[in-house]
Amino acid sequence: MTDPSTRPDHRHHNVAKTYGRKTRALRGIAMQVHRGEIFGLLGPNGAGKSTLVKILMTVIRPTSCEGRVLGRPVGHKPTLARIGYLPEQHRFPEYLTARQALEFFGALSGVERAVRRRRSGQMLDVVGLSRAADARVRTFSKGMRQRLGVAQALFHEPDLILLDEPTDGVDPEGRREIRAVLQEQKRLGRAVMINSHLLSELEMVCDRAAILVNGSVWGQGTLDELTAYDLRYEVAVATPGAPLDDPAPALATRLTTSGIAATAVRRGVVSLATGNPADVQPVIDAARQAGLLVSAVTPLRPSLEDLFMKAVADGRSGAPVAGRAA
Amino acid sequence: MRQAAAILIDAYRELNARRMFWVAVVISLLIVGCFLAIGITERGIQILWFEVPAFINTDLIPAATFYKFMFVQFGINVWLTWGAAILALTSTSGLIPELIRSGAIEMVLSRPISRPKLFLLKYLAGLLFVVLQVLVFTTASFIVIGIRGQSWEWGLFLAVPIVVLFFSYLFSIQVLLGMITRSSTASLLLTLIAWMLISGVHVAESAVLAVRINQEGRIATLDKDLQIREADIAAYTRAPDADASVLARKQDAMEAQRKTRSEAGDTFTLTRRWHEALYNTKTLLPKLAETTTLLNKHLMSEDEITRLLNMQQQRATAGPRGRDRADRVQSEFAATREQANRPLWWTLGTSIGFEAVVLLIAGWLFCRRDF
Repeated sequence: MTDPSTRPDHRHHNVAKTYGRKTRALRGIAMQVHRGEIFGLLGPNGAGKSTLVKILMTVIRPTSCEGRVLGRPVGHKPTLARIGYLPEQHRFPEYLTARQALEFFGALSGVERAVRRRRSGQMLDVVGLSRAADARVRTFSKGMRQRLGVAQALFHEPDLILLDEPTDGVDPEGRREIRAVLQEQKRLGRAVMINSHLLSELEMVCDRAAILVNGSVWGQGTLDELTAYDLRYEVAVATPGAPLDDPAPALATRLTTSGIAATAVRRGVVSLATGNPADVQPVIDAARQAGLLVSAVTPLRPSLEDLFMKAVADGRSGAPVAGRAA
Repeated sequence: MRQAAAILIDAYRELNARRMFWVAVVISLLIVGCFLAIGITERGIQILWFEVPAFINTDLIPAATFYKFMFVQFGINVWLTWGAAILALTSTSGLIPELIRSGAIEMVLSRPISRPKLFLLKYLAGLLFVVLQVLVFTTASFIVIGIRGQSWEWGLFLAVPIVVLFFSYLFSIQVLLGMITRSSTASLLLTLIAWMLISGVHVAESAVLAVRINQEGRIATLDKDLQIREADIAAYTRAPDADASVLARKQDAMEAQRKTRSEAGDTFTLTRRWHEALYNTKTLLPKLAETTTLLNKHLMSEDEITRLLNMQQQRATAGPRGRDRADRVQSEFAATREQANRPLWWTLGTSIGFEAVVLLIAGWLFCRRDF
């Protein structure tokens, strides 16, 4: 029996979109998003992230697409009732109140009247807008509109949620609240796909991510898998009883005599160009033999920002797409 | 059904939020208020409590006909199909550009609703403005005419489908232009220009038709005259005391008349060709004026329409200047009668056909476009 948590909710391969004869927005995308996970879609401006999401939501018609969403082919309209979507820079009808807007879009998604009535209050409460429930959208700040946008995307309790820049214009407190809402959706077993420039935000919530560069997938996988290309260790040492003394010369000598190649030794920190913990042990031994105190052993991996910059640089230099974990 | 109801309710909320809708309602009620203030008596027109002697009185036309005439001439032909229609076009000009605006279109296209259905529902929602306006105006007029004219004319409510149909021709053009230009201002201005062009073709066709009818009459008179002259010459020739010089004069006069007839025939052929070209052009376009005229035909009896037209004709040809233009006025009224008697399939069928083609193009653009 297949574990439902690993069954892909959204899978597509060979998605392509060409504008006119020359401009190719997407060049064949292969991607999977599973239930109960938060998936991040990263990429520089013009990489094709929004185009991909719009194709999934039938806003743009693909030149070719063999993907499936929730078990149905991409473009199957009734399936959209099971997908929540927050477009980038979305607009609500200005004359509606927050409650009316939720009920209107809920009705378009096929939610029954009684359920709409009940759920509008609940959703406004979830995104912290219950006080502004009956205020017109035209009076809302950017952050309030964004919260309302998240609420409408979740309103019909979709199985798959696609959010394009969900925290754009939202203050830190609001971001934290939205993160909590997304974690809750994950807990409920829903698949969440976030398209964002705020890498630190993604880093905090995403289980897996894909990086899109020039309309192609540069790499995808869990954040650990994606950042495994540059794992390092740092060992911090100090001279016992004299923490201000630089232990570097003594340690460098010891490492050289022990035949250990460290990347660098400076001001009590040994940097090792390895991600293997076994390679760290001789350094700890050498430090102890030199009479030094090992104060910290820290595994280091690139941040999402480092990864992003590398992807962009690879894309610019035309480096071949890395065959990263799917 | 749920989605259709949501879109229509949303359209109502949008209208409700627009001042233009309420401005139009207030003007409608003011016009109906004028109907209430104006009456017809045996001696003339009554405004509030004051009687103004006029050529129109209850001896000439019954009170009910007078009110129906006012309803059609001022209420429908002036207010609803001009003033209110412009206000409606202004209000609905943003409907499509706002729908397809970046950030808004994604919110609706990402729902389980097909693009053709969404397009059609939005179009119908746009007609809601006019449906509500005409309903308010007609209901108020129905009550006022019932009270003042002592005649409860249910036929007045035919104004609802007719005026909505009239507006829908223009609205379809506006929807297409909104899809192409993506701008409410551009679509409004271009729709008003299209309206002017359509009306221009109608006015030109009416004028050329009147000229054609006038020329037909003239040719008929000339033919009759020629027949009389021929008979006269034939009779004169047979007369025993026929004078050769008199006969020659008669024959010269007939030749001159034949020449005039031949020239009139040539001019008529040219006019007929022009009229055919204009008529064919008009066949392809929506029949705005003829559509509203349908209301006259259904609201008033043949006798009432004839009496009203005769009354208008008499008034137009009254006085020394009027007598000079009697021929022209007669042709114009004959042209109006001919236009009013054109078959229903031509008036409505070709107009609805035009609207369907325009909407199909707009719908096709909406369904094919990447937003």
